[in-house]
Amino acid sequence: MIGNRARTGGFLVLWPTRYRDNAPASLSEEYKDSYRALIAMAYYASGDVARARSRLVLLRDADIAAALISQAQRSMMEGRPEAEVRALSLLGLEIASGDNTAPQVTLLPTTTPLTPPTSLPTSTPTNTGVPTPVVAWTPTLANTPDSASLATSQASQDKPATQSGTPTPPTSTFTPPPTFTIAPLPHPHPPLLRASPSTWFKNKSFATRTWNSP
Amino acid sequence: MGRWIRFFIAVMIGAAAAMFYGWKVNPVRYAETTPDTLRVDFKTDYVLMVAEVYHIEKDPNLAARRLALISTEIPSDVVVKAIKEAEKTPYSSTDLGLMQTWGRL
Repeated sequence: MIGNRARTGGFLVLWPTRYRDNAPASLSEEYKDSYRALIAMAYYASGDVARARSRLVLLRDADIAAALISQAQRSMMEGRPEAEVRALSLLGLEIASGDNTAPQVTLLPTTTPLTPPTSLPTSTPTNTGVPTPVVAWTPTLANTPDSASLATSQASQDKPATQSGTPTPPTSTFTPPPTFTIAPLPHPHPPLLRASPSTWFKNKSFATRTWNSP
Repeated sequence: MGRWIRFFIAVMIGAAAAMFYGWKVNPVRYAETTPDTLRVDFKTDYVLMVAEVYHIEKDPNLAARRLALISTEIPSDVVVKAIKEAEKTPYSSTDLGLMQTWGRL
């Protein structure tokens, strides 16, 4: 009995299990985050979304885009470098959109629109020669209208009142809502020429390989 | 004698069944591993990613810290090994050049 235990302990100490030849999917969550961030930064450097996607597949996330965006939010809260947060977000949006166009949405919205609104509502009436005044009835809170004045007001609402004098057009101001800036984010470097993602590594495709055996 | 033969045949069948179960039916799933246990081609791609990022960051300390995740060797040795591995596999000349340029720094 003691001999068996000694032999077992000897194997554990002298010949322990060595983990090697693992795939990125087997990494702990902490290292997966580092790996994912590095993928995003490499994408940020090269602009090669196909390669980034192939690398992300290795992590076997259920939803790649959600994992990226979630990590971007966590990184932002943890005070990680802005470039990393930006790269994660851009890649997440790019993966989510599913196309290979250049990312065009920046992270931080600004309240200053880059382009003025194309159509602003104009309240200037057109002068047709015969003024057709439009009287807006606005009840005042200070005076409680009695029934007679209320009836008069109702009548003035039903049909245009004939009013003497120069009509003053109603002034309406249009305040455009704050808009988010949609501006192209230039990559620091042009995309590099790449080999096909399926030919990076020897043997076979990552997506179809099983990593379970040691 | 026949009794012993049957006994060993039963042991062999049991061992074969156990190996089949452990290898195919319910293999060991590695989890919570560290980057230094990655397979060599994954490590090579990792080095390539670090080289790509270094290309814009120009921060050797940060690159060295990233490389330290996959190996305890000095960064230049890690890069040299990755380049040798990349030369064996169909990496593009651009990628190889990126790593070689970085490795010379």
